[in-house]
Parts: sequence; C-alpha cells; structure tokens
Amino acid sequence: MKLLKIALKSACNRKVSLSLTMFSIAISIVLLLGVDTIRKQAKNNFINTISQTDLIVGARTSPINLLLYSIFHIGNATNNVSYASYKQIAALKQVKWSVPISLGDSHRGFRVMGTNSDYFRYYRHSNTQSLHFQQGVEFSDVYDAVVGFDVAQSLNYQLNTQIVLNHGIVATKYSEHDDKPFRIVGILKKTNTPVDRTVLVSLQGIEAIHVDWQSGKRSALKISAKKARQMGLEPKSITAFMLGVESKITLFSLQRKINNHPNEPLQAIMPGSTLASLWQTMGQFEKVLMAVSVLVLFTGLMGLLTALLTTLNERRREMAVLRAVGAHAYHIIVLFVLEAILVVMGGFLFGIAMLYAMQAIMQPILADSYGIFLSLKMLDGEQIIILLVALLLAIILSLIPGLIAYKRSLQDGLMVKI
Amino acid sequence: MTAAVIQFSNVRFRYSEQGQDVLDITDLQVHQGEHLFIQGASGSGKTTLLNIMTGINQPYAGKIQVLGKALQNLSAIESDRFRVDNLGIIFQQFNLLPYLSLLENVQLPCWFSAKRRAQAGNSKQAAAELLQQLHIPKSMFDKPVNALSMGQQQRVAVARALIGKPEIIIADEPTSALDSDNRKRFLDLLFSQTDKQNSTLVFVSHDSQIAPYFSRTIDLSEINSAIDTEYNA
Amino acid sequence: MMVLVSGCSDTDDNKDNLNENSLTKEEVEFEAPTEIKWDDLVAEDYQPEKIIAKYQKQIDKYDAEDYSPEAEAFYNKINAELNNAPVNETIHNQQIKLPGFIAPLTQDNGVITEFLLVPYFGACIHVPPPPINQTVLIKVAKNNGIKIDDSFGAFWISGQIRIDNKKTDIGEAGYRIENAVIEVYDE
Repeated sequence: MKLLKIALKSACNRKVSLSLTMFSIAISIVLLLGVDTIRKQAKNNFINTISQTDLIVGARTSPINLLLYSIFHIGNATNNVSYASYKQIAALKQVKWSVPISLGDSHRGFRVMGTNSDYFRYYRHSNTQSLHFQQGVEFSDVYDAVVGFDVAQSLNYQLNTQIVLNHGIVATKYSEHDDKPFRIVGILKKTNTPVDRTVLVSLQGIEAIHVDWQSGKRSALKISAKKARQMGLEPKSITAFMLGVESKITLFSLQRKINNHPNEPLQAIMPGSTLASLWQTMGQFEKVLMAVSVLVLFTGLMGLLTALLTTLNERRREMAVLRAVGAHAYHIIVLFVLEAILVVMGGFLFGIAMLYAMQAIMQPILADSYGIFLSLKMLDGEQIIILLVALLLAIILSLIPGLIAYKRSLQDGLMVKI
Repeated sequence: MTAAVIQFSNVRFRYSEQGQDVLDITDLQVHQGEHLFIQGASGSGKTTLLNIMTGINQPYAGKIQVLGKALQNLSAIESDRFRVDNLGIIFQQFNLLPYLSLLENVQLPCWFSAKRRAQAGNSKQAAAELLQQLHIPKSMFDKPVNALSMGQQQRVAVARALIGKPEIIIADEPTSALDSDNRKRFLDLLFSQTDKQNSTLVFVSHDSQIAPYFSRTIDLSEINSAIDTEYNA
Repeated sequence: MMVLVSGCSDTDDNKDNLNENSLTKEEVEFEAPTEIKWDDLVAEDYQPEKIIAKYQKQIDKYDAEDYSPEAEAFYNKINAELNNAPVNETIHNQQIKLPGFIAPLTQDNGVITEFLLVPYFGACIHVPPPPINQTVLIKVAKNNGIKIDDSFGAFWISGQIRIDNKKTDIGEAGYRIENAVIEVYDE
C-alpha cells in the first residue's frame, strides 16, 4: 500500500522525536505488562505451593505471617511452639496426620527446614502432587540431608556431597555449624515451589547442631558430632506444624480449640481462608499498581499526540503536494493514523523485548527474596487485550491531528501560504 | 478552431453563503495544445481560479468542463481521481516531499493514478528519462531533495507534472523563486516537454514580463467580474 | 400466549404444540430448590434455654468478671453442650438453597472446589466458630467453582443437602452438599 510507504518514509524523516515517543510507550508497556505478569505468577506460585493441608499451627502471630513463613519461607516466626504442645494436639482424635517443621537455619542462602519423614508422605503441592526424588532417598541418619532441585542445581551438589549449615538466615563465618557437617542423601525433583530452594533435615539433625549453642552462639562446652548423635535429641520446640483432619466439618472447632490452647499462645489457620484474605489485601495493592501503570501509558500516548500535533504546521506543504498528485482528503487522516500505529507498534515490540530481558534478569532475584518463580511465558489473553486497547486509544488520539490536517488541507486547497 | 480542453461558463464562486463572490467568470476557454498565460495579481482570484480548475473547490453556479467532463458534478473522490489522471500540477515552491528520493517524487502521480501509471509504462524508467531531459543528471538521482538548487527542484517538479502524459499541465508561479537566467531556461524546458507530450499548458503568474513567451495571455482581473477593477490599475 | 404461538406457526408445529404441555423426564424429576434459613438447620427440638436453665444455679454463683480457671472450664463445658446442637434430620436429601459465606478448603489453580459454608463473615478468623449444625461442607459441581479472588461476599448455594452418618467425636454428624451450584447473593 503506497500510503503505508509514504507514512513510513515520512515518519523516518522525523525519527528523532518519534523515537523518543516510541521509547516512552515502550516503557509504559514494560510497566503495565510487567506488573500484570508478576502479580499473576506470584499468585500462581502461592496457590500451587500447598494443598490438601487442613490446618497450619504456629506460635500466635498474624495468620498471614504464619502462612508466609511456614510455607513460603518469607519472613520469620516470632516465637516457637513447644514440642509438648505439638504432641498433645497431634494426638487429638480429630487429627488424621501431622507434620512438624523447624525453621531458622540456612545454607548458603537457602533455608534449612527440619522435619520428619511424614513431610515426604503428606506434603502436597500443585493440587495433588507429592514430592518425588530425582536421586536418592529420605533422610534416616541424624546428619542426613535432602535438598530441593534448585539447591542442587545452583550449588552443583550430588549425592554424598558434604554441606555445612549456618545458624540464622544470614550466612557468616562465625555462625556456621561447621563441626557437624551433613551428607546429602536425596535430591528432589523440581516442584516450582519454595521446596526447590530448601534443604531438608530431620528434627534430630536440627537439635544436634544446636546442642552446644546458647542464646544464638556457640557455648564453651563443645559437643562433637559423634557424641551428639548418641544423645537422643528429642526436640524441645518446633516452629510450626501442618495438620490433616478426619472430618472437615470439625475444622472450625478444632481450630478454636488450638487457638485456646491453655499452655501457650498458638495460632491455627486454614490455609485456604488465609490465602483468600491475602488475596484481598494484595488486591488493593494491585489496583493501585495498575492505576499507576495506566497513567504511565496515558503519558506515553500524550507524548505521541504532542509529537503529531507539533508537526502539523511543517507538514502542510506535504499535504498539499499529496493532494495535487491525487491523494484524497481522507488519505490525510489515514496518514496520521498509520503513523500513530507505526509508533505504537514499534513501542510495543521494543517494550515486550525489554520486558523479557528484565524478566530474565529478575528471575533469580525474585526467587531468592520473594519465593516468586517467574517462568518466561508468552503474553496471555488479558495482556493482549491490554495492548489492543492501547493501540485503539492511540488510533483515536491520532484522529485529532488527522482531522485538523484534513480540515486545513480542504481550506488550503493547492495553495498553502507559508 | 482546436477543441477547448477547459471551458468555464458563468462560473461563480464564494467561500461562504454570506460572503461576496470571489470569482465570477462568464466565459473562459483553454484550447488544446496552447501555452496560456493567465496574469493575475494577488487578490485577483488567482488562487480560487486554480482551485476550481483543478476540482478542489466547486462553484455554486455555472459549469466547468474539463476534457469534456463536467467538474461541478463530480464528487470529491471522483474529482481527486480526475485531477491526478489528467492534470499535472506545479507549485511556486516546496513541490517535493523531502523524505522521498527524486525518482520517487517524480513517480508520485503514478502511485495514485492507474491511468498515468499505464501511460508511463515502466514508471521508474520514465521518471529517469524525464529527469534527464530536464537536465538533471543521473549522478544527482541519489541526492536528497534539500541538496538541490531551487532551479533543479522546480525542474524535478516539472518532471512529476509530466510523467504519465496528463493532458493538461497547470503551473502556479513556478518561476517566481528563480532568478532571471534560470527563468528563461526553465520556461524553454517546460514548453518543449509539454509540446512533446501534446499537453496543454496553463500558466498563472503575476509577472507580466514573461507573458510574451506565451501564445495567449488573459488578464484575470478583466474576465473576473467579481473583482473591483479599480484596484488593478 | 399459546394461541399466538399456534397462530403464528406452521401446521407442522401444531403437532408439537400438543406435547408442550407434557414434560420431559428430567423436567419431571427436577425440583426447584427450596430456600431455607440457617435456623432450619437446627433440630426442631433443640432448646438452648433448657440447657442454660440446667446450669442456671451454678451460673449465678460465678461473677460476670470471674476469669479463674474453674470458671473458664465451666463456661467451656456449657458452650460445648450448647454447640452440641443436633442436626435437623427432616431436611436430609432435600434440594435446598441457602445463603452464606465461603471458607475455602481446597482449590485447583485458584478456583475453589471445596469449602465450608458459614452463616457470617469472618467465621474462620477470630470470632467464635459456628457450631456443627451451622456449618455445611460443600463440594462444587464440575466447572462451577469460584475463583479465590471472587470468593468474598455472600453467595447462594443450591444443591441436595445430606446428613453424614459418620459421627464425629464432638457431636452429631454434619451437613454436606455435593455438586453444589454457587450464585452471587444480590439483595
């Protein structure tokens, strides 16, 4: 189409100002789609991380905090749960199964979680998936460890690799439990949940490494690894535990009972309900983010409109020449619309390329700090609609200079007085 | 008497219903093949005349026949098509699109008119030939429009007006921006190329000094009754 | 209306008009669900006043501000009995429609497929939980699940209500609805 060729060449003639406009549209696309992608993927990750667990119990704290630190390993517990309370509750008739977990240590940036073999039996993710081993088996010895897929991959671990755990979340030389190294006996298959980035050990293992630690640092009384193994190592406290019940209709009263536990303040949450209220909170935040992104897009489109309007005068001669060689009056509107489309599509392509590049860069950061696993996917239906709406807006905006130029050219006829 | 390619009968035009007539021409004829000079000072209705002659504006009364076609009956779209099919137009200045090459500029009418494209044959080749005949050497073809002198730009405009052999060439003050040397050369080239294609030339200008070069001269202020002749001495 | 329909249609359709008055098998079996209230889930012979009356003398003994462990244990005992309200056996297997709030239990890709229906919002968080006969375990009909994002607010749940024969150890068996249909509750 000859008009397209003319529009293209005309635009190239003014490529400096149009490139800047294109760039600002690209940025707004990155923002709009980026926010949308992250929020959808984050939600997806959260949803798939835990399933088929009826209650999660920890020391009394806000329900969302409990959910975040116990399952998503985001944030920390405010207090621990005594092992005695755990055993009492696990023994209740309503409880079908229970899994204790103990958090607090780390290994080279990855969280260490103490638990027992019931974890491998009862933990479910992505609706019905249980944990599968890529290599090896569950832990059995005190100093056995099972690592998640990402841990093994990024640190290049194999079976029988020896690792040293670190006290606390931040690694420092003086807080290592280096006298009690662990041996990797199992590597899990990828789950796309925080489990991939977790080192799993037995509760006894956690007790063993802390047996000669007082108030967060090593005591003068050293106990060797060998001696610790023989010490029995029944845990005194854990961080939280998961429960499955016999009959779901009893959930509320069981929850109430746990929340009113006489010996220590406990919090029992139903993960589904807590997740739903997390969504509510996030929903407000999401709306704000989307509003900001839309405003940024609007700014970009205003830039386009400005770029087109300011060139109107210098293009009057151009329009007269085109009319003289046979262009219809409406072709003039078409030229402006085509130019808007070219700039916006260019902005889209540039923006989407930037988006993927940024996602690739952000992937490890988001996984590390926020437990959000970004998978680079194609744009989904909603996002394509966003782009189409933006394109439509640009076309509508371009009609403004287009119509002005159209009217002027009708007035000017062939003779433009400059 | 050769056929009239353009014929005005009782043509009247005004810009708004409340306004005065700007053009009132009882009779104007342009004959096939002639070089007609229409002398019009500014304010004599020169611009309006050209707009009407090329079908940009419609008179509210009267008839305009161009190549046998009644222009006042054509719709805007038909008018545009008729214009590019049969008229080649040259402006006073800024004839060319700065973002197209010289060859592309010359070919423009062929992009919009199937008739002229067909009559030109290979439009790129026809453009090259015309340019060279108008003394634009091949070595300049790749230069951007802004690198050409005024005279060269005007000659490229002539090539564009001529490509595809339109019946009528209409020129609006094409020599006003040229110095007197270039003016003569330009006119010679314009005349010879127009004759070569058997086209008719309508040349509108205020400059009475070049009138002698033309086969016929019309004083617009004399045929346009809408103008108060006291202004034109 | 029937006159108009038969008047406008061709002669061929007249044969079908005869059948319009008889229903298909599904239509015959279909009952419009009865709207019920949460009170209807409580057994008719349940009289909380009698339970309170039973303990009235001891209630009077304790101060309103008494938080001693014995007082607490005593109140817990009364509450347990009050909550031990039996189910209303007469509504077993009826097609009902009941409004309530959703406490999600199981979801599939962000769509809730199983939940507890409760009479008031916030039942899952810190308010005293409703007794067993004021809770319904709901499994949603296929493709009828509701997204987590949309699960706040009140909903109409329609379906056949059953009473579980399996006794739980804290009282009578509970209500459940399989293949429930969810609609937004508009007042």
